[in-house]
Amino acid sequence: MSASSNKGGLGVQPSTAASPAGRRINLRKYNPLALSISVILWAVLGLFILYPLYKLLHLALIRDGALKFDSIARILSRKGNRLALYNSLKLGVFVACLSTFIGFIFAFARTRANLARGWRWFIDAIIILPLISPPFTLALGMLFAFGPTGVLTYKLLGIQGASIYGMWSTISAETLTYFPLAYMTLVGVLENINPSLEENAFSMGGSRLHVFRTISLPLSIPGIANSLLLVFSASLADFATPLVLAGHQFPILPTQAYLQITGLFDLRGGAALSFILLVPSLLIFILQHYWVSRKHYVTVTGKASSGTPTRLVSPGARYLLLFVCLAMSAFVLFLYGMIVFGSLVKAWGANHEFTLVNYRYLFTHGLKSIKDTLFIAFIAMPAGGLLGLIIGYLVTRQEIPGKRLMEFVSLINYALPGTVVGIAYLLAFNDPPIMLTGTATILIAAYVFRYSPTGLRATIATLQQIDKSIEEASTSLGANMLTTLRKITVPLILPSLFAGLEVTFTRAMTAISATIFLISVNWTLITVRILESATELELGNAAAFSVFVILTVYLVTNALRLVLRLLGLTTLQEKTALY
Amino acid sequence: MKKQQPTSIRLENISKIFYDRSRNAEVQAIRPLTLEIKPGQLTTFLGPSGCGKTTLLRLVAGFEEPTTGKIIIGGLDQTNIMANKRDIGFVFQNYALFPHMTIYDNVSYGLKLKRLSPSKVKEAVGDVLEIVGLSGMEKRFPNQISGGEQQRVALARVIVTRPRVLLFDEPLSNLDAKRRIQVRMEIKELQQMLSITSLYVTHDQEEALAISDQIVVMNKGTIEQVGTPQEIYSRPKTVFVANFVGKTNVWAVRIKDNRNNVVEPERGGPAFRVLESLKGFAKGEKAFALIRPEAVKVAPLSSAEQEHLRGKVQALTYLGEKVEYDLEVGGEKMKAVVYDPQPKTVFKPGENVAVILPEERISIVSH
Ligand SMILES: Nc1ncnc2c1ncn2[C@@H]1O[C@H](COP(=O)(O)OP(=O)(O)OP(=O)(O)O)[C@@H](O)[C@H]1O
Ligand SMILES: [Mg+2]
Repeated sequence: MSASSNKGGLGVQPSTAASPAGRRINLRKYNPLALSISVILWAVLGLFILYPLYKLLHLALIRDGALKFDSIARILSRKGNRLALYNSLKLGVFVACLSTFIGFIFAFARTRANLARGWRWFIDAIIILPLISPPFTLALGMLFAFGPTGVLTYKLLGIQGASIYGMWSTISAETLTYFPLAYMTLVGVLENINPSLEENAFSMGGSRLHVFRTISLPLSIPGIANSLLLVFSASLADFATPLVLAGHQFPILPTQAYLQITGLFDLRGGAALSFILLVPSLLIFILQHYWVSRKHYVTVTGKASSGTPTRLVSPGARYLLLFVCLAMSAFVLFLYGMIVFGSLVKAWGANHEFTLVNYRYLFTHGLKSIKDTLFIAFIAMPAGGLLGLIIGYLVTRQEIPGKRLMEFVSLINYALPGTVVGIAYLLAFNDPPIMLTGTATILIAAYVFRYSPTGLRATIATLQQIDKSIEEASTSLGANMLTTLRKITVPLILPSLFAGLEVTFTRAMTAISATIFLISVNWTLITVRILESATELELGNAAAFSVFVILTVYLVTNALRLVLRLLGLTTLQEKTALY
Repeated sequence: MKKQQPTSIRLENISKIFYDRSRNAEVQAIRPLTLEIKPGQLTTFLGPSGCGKTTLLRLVAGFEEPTTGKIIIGGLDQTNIMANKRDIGFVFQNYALFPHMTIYDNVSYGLKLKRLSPSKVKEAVGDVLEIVGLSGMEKRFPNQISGGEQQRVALARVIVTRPRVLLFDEPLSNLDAKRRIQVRMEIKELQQMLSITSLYVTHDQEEALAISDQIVVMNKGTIEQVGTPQEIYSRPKTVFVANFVGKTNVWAVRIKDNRNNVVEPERGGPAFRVLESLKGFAKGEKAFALIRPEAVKVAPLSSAEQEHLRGKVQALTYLGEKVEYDLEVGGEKMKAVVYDPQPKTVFKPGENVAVILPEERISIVSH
């Protein structure tokens, strides 16, 4: 054996490393296939994310080719709009705090109170309900329970014409809708706090409250901040609940923008209101994307700690926690029960005789919306799932120019309130060159680009956890690129694809805020029918539609999970799957 | 499993430049180097973190392309051959087992790609699992076995395909100290039994000394020295090698007489002779003198007959089997280790002693 650190000797040409090497690296750096796919993706992202956003900003901010804020000023000069802005922020703060508080109690009970398996299962099942139902289901339930002909208000208490509409009922319904989101965020964080920290503090003689105050709580602060941000922006964007429950006394931004466009046909005003809504949402998203979630990932990938201390929670506190969780869950369940009940009676509040007439309506007058919705959802599902998968794979595993930017742009429609996206699509695709209004395409595109980011994030998170060496191992054992993709990479990221499929389908069945601007005579959606029925107080129909949606989503998502299990793969954990 | 004809490897003027996007700069991971590896040997690459060991291994495996140079395996230029056609087994630091496959499927992966008949695959997998002591674990998944067992699966997965070359990237770093010693001996035995040419990366000098036929000491993308474990330890060619492999005393000297092998310390003190030939040095040239602490002899001043230097004990650490002394000799600090110390002969701090530097144990390396 001979060796030399070739300081010019050995007769081997000391090739000038810099220039030819530089060229070779550059050529090899971009895989041609990856490069062409990324070009196509940029075109698609440009068309369905950047272009509508541009149209919206242009209409809101540019007049006669110059940047002018007069549209914004005009909108804000109206007292109703200023009130809506104030209300929106107030609503967001209330809902964020309440949801996070309740979510924390649930998460704490789940991770620290040593609940029996049955209870944990029950809590998890309840938590999942609001996530698979149309966003205003709980608002509907509130109407059934507390509305003018509500079970509690009218039947039980005999109050005539009780007014449920307004701020507090909106806050309640949104809190019930969004506390599962807070819970999901916090459970991950609490699970990852090393129990020995708490044990230590405890064995050093700290009281339970002291340990909680000095260890558990401070360590969950990042999770709490994350949860506050998430719920705040969800509430800020929520359109459906306020439309059902807020009434005229409590205007908020998304409903105001909706009325501006559908009531007053004032596109510029709608765009200006959207802009006002867009700024805080985007700011929160950027904060999230670059700060909170980055830190969050690290903890989520860490090993879940086993054996959480049971001593931290005294028996009394345990029962209290259990009681609070069960009471809340029971209430949520009660509201859902109301909806099922309401779908099966003749006239809510007046005649509670059993009937299937609402379901007959569903499959006659409602049939078109059902067909349309299913068609759109079943096309959006694979499209959204694949889009997330492909972008996620490209930005984590391939060298392509501007991949960070691509990731960010892909997430924009997800970060923006649905109302903003809907108005932007309306502005972008109503006129030539690209006329899509009235087609199914525009609805599908709205869902695909708004909800593929879940699958995208899951893919990225999964791929970041799958070390590159696993693929290299396959290669050096003799597999070519396709074989490696087929036998190693795909099976490993299939769970994230399925998470993407699940979420895109669920949202395509349930979401309304963006697509309400995009429906037409040709294409309509179940959620829109529910909303119409609810505002016209045909609650029986609304309830039957809702039950149908919930069952469909439940069946399809479980079918997807079954497929995954049959393939011998485990599902992603619920918490990563849904957000 | 029977032996196969072992393969030689030759790296010709290999270099690798990475482009670091975050700093927008080039990183020279490997500076042009040439290295020849004899068939059937186990060669370790030893060096500090970031010196390019992994990069070199990945170049041989074909996961990276060299910026310059050629990779010749078994006499054929393989530089432009894809990694999956090189017939090389790579044992990764993190094992890189396929998490969604059973142990059996992991181990049979490469064989199935070679389109062997199912019965042959089964037989070969059974054999290799027996060799690594994992029979009966076929149906488990990687997360259901211990770290040491995962390590064996990783090994079994590559040797079952009978590769021409085995590459190990710090294969033991995830094991505890005791397991490490056991597994490294097993790797060595297996490698000798199959006589597969192997490259082995580590930054643990003891590991390198224990298992290698040849050691390549690397630093900052270059080769510092190539040699057998004994050569590397007893005749380090650079101060870096001496310090990296074991401990050493270094002091600056000047060549006084290059024909009679006499050097004098830079900071003054008596000149001394060494056994090593200094023909390669010029008269008056600066150099370093090296001596291992265990080669330094310490004796009572009174009884010293040999030529010696005067030293003073500054501190000592008594470790039972040995004593480590911190000495001061002619203004220089020096370490000495005395094995099997007898209570009477342990010196005390502040005591003056005779320090004997056997001339055959001193190396002179260039500046
Ligand atoms: N893909 C890459 N892009 C840019 N720089 C790289 C890349 N891979 C390695 N490097 C750089 O090349 C140098 C050598 O890296 P290498 O991984 O070969 O070191 P190593 O000797 O294996 O170290 P360790 O003992 O820590 O594993 C380092 O400075 C490293 O930062
Ligand atoms: Mg390395």
